[in-house]
Amino acid sequence: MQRSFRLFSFINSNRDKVCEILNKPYSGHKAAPTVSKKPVDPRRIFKVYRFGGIASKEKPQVMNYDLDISTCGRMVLDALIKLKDMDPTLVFRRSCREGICGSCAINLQGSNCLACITAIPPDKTINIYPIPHMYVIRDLVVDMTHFFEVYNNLRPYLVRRDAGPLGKFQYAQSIQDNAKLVGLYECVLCACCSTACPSYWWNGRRFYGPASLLHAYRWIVDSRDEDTEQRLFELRDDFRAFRCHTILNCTLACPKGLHPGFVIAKLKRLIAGLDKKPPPEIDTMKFSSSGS
Amino acid sequence: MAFSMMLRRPVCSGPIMQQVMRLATQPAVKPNLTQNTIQSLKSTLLKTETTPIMNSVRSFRTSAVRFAEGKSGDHSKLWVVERVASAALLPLIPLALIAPSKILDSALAIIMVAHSFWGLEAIAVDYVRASIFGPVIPKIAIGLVYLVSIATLGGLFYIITHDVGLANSIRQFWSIKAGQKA
Repeated sequence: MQRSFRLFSFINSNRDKVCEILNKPYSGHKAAPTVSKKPVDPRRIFKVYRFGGIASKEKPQVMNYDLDISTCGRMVLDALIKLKDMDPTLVFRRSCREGICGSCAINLQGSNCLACITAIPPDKTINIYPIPHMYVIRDLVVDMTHFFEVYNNLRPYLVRRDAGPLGKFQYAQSIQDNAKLVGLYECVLCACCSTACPSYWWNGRRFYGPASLLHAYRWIVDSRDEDTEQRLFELRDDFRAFRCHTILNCTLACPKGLHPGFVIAKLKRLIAGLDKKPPPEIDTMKFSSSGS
Repeated sequence: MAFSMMLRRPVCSGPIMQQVMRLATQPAVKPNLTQNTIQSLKSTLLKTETTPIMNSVRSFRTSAVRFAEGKSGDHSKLWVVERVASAALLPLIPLALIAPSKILDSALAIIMVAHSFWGLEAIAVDYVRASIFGPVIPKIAIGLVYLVSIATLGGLFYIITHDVGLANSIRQFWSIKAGQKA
């Protein structure tokens, strides 16, 4: 159990180390420079992808907007809202403004991120595009239908052998079993990882993508779920999980600091039978008689 | 897996199935109604052409997610074999080069060709997709991968049986001395 705790703190704190290892500067998460050469001019140019939709017959184009970022908040979403004040036809999704709903996924300076929790980078020109290789409905809004359809298909809920009366008592779970879900339940389905994966670009119709595979693993590894065999059986074909070639763009992109690449590796071992899901540490039906 | 892909016809290529797909991706259609709507699809075909909202996002086939559940093969065993082959190559290549012999050469030839075959097959399956190249070219690509692999294996075994062998062929690079005429 100690190992699993260490593993999870490794996962959550290791994003920058992954970037170092892969030798790629991740511009969406630059730390504040300790020695700044000179303060960067707050007047920036925002290059935003604009598209009227396939019904409008226009070609997509990139529009330039001049914005003084000292007049708006620090985050890219604040800048986008200011841009919408300037040009009300600009369209983007947003809801919680705190990185928990997953609505505002965009491609910023070439990397996917959530606009509401990503600071405006210290560059003169800021490129904002919709998340890559998705059908664009309008401007920065993409069609997430297939993404959510795949997620729903993997039955993202507890399945027990005898579905007794629901809600009468809680299913008992040990603290260590619950800790296994750390790094899995925080996924907000923003699609930053899946749309950063080249395998998902080329085979998004049949490959589940890192987000759904992370959730598949989350339900498989939950000690309260009893349908492990069927869940793993459904993932065994050549396309659903095994189109992952460990490119690891997903881990680089995740705005919540999760590690889908690592989780998919563990999922592949479970599907192949190299690893077995351990039985629950305490009896899941412990509270069935007392009723709490 | 790729061989069976070459022979298998797509599950949902008919116009009725495509219409089911299109209706199934619309949020307005409740899932328990899809069975009944299959019969009424022919009558609604014309109607969906005219409603602009339904056509604003292009529909596409999500065949394997829903309909190919029972038909999908088991790739997990093959995945393990692929990793074992990659791991086996790590000690095998230096070992075969240090101690040239027919057995090690043969093992090297088989595992190397298998490794390259699975790699090229993954490339062909990933990139040569039916949505860009149509129904025929992806099968030709997989066929070419098979052809190249079989030819390579044949060629390597020829070197092992009728020539100096694999390890000795590589070692011959170092046997060329400076100033030697070819």
